[in-house]
Amino acid sequence: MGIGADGDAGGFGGESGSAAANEGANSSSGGGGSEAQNAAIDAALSGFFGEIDNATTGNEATDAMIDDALSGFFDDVDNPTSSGNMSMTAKIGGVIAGLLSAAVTGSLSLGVTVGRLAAMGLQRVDAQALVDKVSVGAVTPEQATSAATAAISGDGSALTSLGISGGSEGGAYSANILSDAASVASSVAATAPVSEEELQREWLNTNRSDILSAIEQGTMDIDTGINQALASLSPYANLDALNREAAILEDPTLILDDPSFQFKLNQKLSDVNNAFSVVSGGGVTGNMLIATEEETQGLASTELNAAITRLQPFINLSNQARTAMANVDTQGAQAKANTKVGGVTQLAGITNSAAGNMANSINSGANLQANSIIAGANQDVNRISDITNAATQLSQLFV
Amino acid sequence: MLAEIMEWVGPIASIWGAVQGADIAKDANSQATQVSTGATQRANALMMEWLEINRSDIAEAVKSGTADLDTGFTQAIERIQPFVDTGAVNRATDLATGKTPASADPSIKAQTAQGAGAVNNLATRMVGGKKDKIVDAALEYGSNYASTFLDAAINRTLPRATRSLEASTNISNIQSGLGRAKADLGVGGAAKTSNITGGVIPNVAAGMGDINLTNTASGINRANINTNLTSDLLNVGNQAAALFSRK
Repeated sequence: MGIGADGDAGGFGGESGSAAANEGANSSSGGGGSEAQNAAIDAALSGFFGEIDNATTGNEATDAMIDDALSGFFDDVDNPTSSGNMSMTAKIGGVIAGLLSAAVTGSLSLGVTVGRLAAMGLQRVDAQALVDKVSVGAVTPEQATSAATAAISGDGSALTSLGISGGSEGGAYSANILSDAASVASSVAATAPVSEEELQREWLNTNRSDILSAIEQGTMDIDTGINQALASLSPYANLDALNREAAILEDPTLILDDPSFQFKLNQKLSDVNNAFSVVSGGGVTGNMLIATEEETQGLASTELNAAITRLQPFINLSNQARTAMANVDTQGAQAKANTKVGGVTQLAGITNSAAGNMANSINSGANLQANSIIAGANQDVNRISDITNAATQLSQLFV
Repeated sequence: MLAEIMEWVGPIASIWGAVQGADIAKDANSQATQVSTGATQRANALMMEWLEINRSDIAEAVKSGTADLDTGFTQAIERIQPFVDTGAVNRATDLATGKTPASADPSIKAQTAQGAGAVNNLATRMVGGKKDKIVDAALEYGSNYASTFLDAAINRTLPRATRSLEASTNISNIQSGLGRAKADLGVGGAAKTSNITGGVIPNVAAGMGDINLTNTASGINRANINTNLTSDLLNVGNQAAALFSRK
């Protein structure tokens, strides 16, 4: 990086900037412990920036995470010249150079670059204008780095000279920068869970829609299956034989008055009469009448039995088919009911879980916001306290 | 003159700082409390909103599922119903027990009529004074003879009676199955509703408790801030008194 152990800013070149933009993995040079510490700081910053970048994709920017990310960064504020630490200006410059370099090479989107610069304390409008100028080549990355670093350090004139309003002027890297960065961080953190809630709600609705569609589709599939099964069985479910049986039992003359039976009966009786005529010499006797009675009734009963028996296999087929169809009906109904209630149970489980997560997100975001408010107030109180102490000390000089 | 003014800069700054600091702290305390309790109220409302949706979803599914069961099981019964013929059972039973005479059975009545017709046809060829008596005797024989076909008549009806019993048994099973299925669905749905409700309500209750705790803590914080302010102002007053005493 070309940064000396005494904390001098050796330069804000693209090399060091790239190292910062690449999550601090490739510090090209530097003094021993300084390089390691810088890398650690870069890594910490990368988590911070990563959180900002991904705040709307479900990551939580927790207090602890932000604190971890910023602690290394702001250690330099407290000990800018201690061994192994870069000066704050150098550090800010390195990060800005890295961001701009990454934006120019396309490894970082312009929007993300602006967001990161804003997170470092540069006014967003200034950051946007600066990135725009760099991206079209109106300003070199080195010029932009120098101007932005100066602005964050309290001098906005360089930005103004580049045709940018310089609204970032005065953002000193002392307690002010800590306050600003904390504000940005808390803002991001407070926004992230809200977005997270919206994201969860969106996906919950998507999931619910998916499940409801699946239930509907599943129910339709069951209906289709039921209808196909019933269609397969229905040819065997004909009730004609059953109805014919009922009709014959109710009115046997349907069989006995039928010409075919009468023909058969006449044939039978003719045989009987002929046989008796041989004995009686052609006359009609009482025995002949009795024989006629027996033969007629016997033949009628046999014919009725045959008619009924003939129908039984077909009636049994129909009975079996209809029993099977009834099973299809009941099983299908149960399957549909189970699909609906089972699916909705899944739906309720997912919904319940997501609602709990959304509630947690709301509370988490509120906690971060509340902590940020308290932290900001503490900063302000501390500043007032510092002023008061200074005034008191000054006053003591005159006592 | 400047020295005298500067002596009072410290105490005045202290008063200003104490009052400003207290205001800032109280304002922050108030804002943080509002943010926290507002979020908890919103979280509770959200959980209750989705709970109601869940309960409604399950109730609707149980209702729809119950309607499916009614439709399917009723359809099943209607398919089997044609085989139910309790009349056949009664006819066979009445014939077998003698409650109904064989001659009243349609099949026996019909075959008797066939026999009588045949006898009468044959009798037209008879001559002589005993014709009518002989024919009457033959017809009476035919009526009595018909009872020998009683078993046949019963057996012709019995398959229908047997199938009727089977169909009635199946329908009975379907009806009881429908009752069980509807009960299972209703109880299962209620249990799931209960589980979900039981999982949410404690969280909502805890949220309400958190709101109370936050408000209480906020009140304590405010009291502490005021106490500290009083203490700070008292100290400044002491400093001022010391300053006056030196004069």
